[in-house]
Amino acid sequence: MTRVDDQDLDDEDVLWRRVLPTWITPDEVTDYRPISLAFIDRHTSEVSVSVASLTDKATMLKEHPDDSLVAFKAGAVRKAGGIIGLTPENPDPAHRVLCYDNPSQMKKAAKSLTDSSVFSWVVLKPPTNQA
Amino acid sequence: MSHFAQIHPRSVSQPLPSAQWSKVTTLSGSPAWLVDARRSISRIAELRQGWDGETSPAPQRQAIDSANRLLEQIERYWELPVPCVGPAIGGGVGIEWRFETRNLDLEVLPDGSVEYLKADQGPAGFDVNNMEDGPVSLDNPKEAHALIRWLMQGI
Repeated sequence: MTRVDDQDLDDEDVLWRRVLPTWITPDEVTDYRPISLAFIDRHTSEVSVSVASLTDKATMLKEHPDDSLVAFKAGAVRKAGGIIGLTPENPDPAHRVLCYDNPSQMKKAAKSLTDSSVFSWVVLKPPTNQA
Repeated sequence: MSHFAQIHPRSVSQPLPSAQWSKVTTLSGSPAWLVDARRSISRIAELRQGWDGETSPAPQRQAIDSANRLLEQIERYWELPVPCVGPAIGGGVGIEWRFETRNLDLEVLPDGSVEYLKADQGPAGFDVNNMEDGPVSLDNPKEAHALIRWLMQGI
């Protein structure tokens, strides 16, 4: 499906992504950080996110109480070559998808989102097995 | 109970049942990072379709086998830090290291093929234009060795 970048979203607008416990690792700067896999989807080639201003934490984690939420700006995705695609087929008005031209671009963008200057935790539930 | 709750990926990071723990202890003499990585892969192999709370296929057998084969090729590197090993949406497996400023991601795709991503983290963070990625041949262990040397020594 051809996606169109949501031009109503400024680069400063914040996106949220749900992060599973297995995608969180210790970090010297932020204590914990998401790993690249949190921002890669080889199944659909589209990474689901939500516009923070159009949703809330409770809604995001309602069905996933053990997961965490990570925030980053739309500009970080665009800087890495991606778009924040509109999903008119999805009834959730906050839902968007990160789309890239190819898997290589998706991987590189995913790595860039793991930098401590790019992401911040909205909700952090550290994995239980970390030392 | 939701489907997701039954197969929650947190189980990847929980202690192994005693039977599987016995299997891990046979690795005594292996690097700590390798024991940890193999344990994670064993857990990942148990995930079922929908493990991500959405529609991801289960980790594929080819991916699990390739991930274990990849680890075998680099098991001699005792000095490696413990990697973060996780399931990838689509049925693959990811193995990620960060050492000093260097980041090495090895992604085993659902079909068992392997790709790498090398990324050096500068003072301003990552620059996607300075990252390198490509395939890794499991038929040529020298390729994996070269990636590990880059991670640990920067060469």
